[in-house]
Amino acid sequence: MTNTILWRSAAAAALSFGMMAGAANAAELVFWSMWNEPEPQAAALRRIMDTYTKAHPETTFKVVWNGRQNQTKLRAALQAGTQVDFADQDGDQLAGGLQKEGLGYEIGADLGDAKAALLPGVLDLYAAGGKVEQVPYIYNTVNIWYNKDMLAEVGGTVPQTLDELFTLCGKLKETSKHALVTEGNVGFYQVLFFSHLLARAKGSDAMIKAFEVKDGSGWSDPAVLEAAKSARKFWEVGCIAEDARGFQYPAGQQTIALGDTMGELVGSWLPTELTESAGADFPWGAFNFPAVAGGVGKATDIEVGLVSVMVLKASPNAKEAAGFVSYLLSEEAQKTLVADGGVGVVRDGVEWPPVLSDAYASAKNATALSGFGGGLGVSYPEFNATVLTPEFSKMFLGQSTPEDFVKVLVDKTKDYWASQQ
Amino acid sequence: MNKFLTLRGAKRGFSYLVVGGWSAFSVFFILWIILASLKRNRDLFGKPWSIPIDPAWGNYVKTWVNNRFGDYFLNSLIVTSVSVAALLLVSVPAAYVLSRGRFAGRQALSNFFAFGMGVPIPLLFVPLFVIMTTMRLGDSLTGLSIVYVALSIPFSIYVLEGFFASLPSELESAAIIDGCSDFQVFRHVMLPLAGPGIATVAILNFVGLWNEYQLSLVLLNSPENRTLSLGIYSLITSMQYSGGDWAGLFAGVTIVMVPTILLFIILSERMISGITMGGVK
Repeated sequence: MTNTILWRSAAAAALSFGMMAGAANAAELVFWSMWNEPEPQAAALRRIMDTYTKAHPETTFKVVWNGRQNQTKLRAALQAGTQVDFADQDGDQLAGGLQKEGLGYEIGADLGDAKAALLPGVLDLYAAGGKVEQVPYIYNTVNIWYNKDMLAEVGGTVPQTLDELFTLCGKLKETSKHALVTEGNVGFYQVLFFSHLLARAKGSDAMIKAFEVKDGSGWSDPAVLEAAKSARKFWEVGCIAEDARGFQYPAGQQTIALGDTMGELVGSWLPTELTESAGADFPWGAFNFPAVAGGVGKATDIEVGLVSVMVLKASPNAKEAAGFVSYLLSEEAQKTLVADGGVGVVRDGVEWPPVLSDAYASAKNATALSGFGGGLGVSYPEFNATVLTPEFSKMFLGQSTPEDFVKVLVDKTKDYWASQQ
Repeated sequence: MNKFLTLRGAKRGFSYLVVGGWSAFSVFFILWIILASLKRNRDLFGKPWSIPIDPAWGNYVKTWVNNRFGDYFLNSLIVTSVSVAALLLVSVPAAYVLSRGRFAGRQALSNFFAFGMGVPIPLLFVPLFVIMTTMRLGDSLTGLSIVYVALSIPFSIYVLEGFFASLPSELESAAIIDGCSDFQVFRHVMLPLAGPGIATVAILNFVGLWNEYQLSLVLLNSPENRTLSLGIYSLITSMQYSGGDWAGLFAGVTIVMVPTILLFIILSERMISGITMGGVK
């Protein structure tokens, strides 16, 4: 009897201790997201969080679906002392924003084995000085996205070199179609021509290397002028229709859905963006920007736009949030993102949706990664936004010459570094 | 004389041309947006000038239900109506006192309100966010309404002061001789006379607050609290990554436009008389 009472007392004490310990570890993680609630990516994340909570009942989530202005809202909220444990945003934006401001939690050590399971280069892309403060979980590649049927109709094959691409442009022009299109008002799409041409000529880090020569002479390399001239050649040989200069987004990409243009140099989100207009059965294909004769850059070097999650340094639940981020990279979670969100993901071996299969091959075989526009937007967002993109846009659309463009880059780079001293 | 009449006719013709052209331009685009909202996405870009033979009313249903524009519409209506009502409740008496009262510091007070119109809104983001959060009014429609009222007061007082100043003071004197108190003069004499001016201020503020984006972006987070302007923006931004339902976007824009257009139709007469009132004594 005494033994029974003692045993029961001990069991009750153990139980209550366990409950107390559980309560002490319980955490409601506050997640501010760049997705809107009705979007499929949000539905996928919600499901992943629910699954995580089932396996870890002590961790629950409070999500604020802010949409793409997430980082803007987050800045004001953090300054006001609002508790946010983790947030997501385009990696480039986070790198130039919260990460640059030192607000990210260094998560590298918490990721454990997950690191080795990711596609090449993903985790290193935004790591500054070896510190991982944001973890990509959705993968977008930059390729030439095209209509496979249109390519077949002119008897074309996927071009391996720039000359082959220009030849293909000629073939399409003979049928009154155009190979490529651009948006006249989206500078950061236009810059992709320049960044790819320069990367193919000088290597994937060419843009940053050129900019980091502080007297501006990095841009005086003849390859830079050649890249600018080659970009203009896309118009001169009729690769891009003349009226595309006046296209306002999304007028350009809609010409692909309407069958007037074969493709566009853009991110792997294009098929999703055009689903409504092109239809779900549109014959999408994607190929990497081709190689340039005599260039040292490979056609397998790609530009990417990754969506990342960042645990905030000020979070009182940073460890718990990091635990969830590790789970977000797991095979189970990544498959949910593909199935429910319809997106490409960062974990190696997890197949992307069929429409993105060429992009998956491109990511899997990537020999080097750089951010959108050669990575300048990640490392030097201000120069990229205020000088490179608008000046290139002017030149690309015919309002200045390639020589003028190079001269401006030289002068402004010099000014930039002088102002940093 | 004939030369004078010809010149006058030419001037009038030119005025009609400019005003008519501007009106035609505005009406054309409003109609185009409404027609676009009834097309399918493919036709929207393939046949931008066509009339939708088989209107896609589903665009409105999708936007209203799936994209929660029904909720956003209600939020906008509540915030804007409450803010404008509260604003008038504060601004009308204040403007009356500032325009008619004779007391020390009146001019300084008027200047202080006028100065408020020059404060750039983005400078206030962080302090407003901190204040609202501290008062537990962050991410709430009540908090947003309070901010709207506070920030709209300078403009409203400035405009209403002009209206009250343009009203003949003899009416006020007559009412006082008849035994009205100051409040009765305001309530029964000046307030009805200022009706067109008040309607003008109400419409201008309603339209401004209905379309307001920056403050609601910073002060509201929860999707259930979003106003229409935030809803439109989230629809635009979700085009990237999640698919471009442009016809749905135009349906959303039409939903945003309708109340302000209706308001103008109903109150335009009063507003025009209110605007012209200060010019003719």
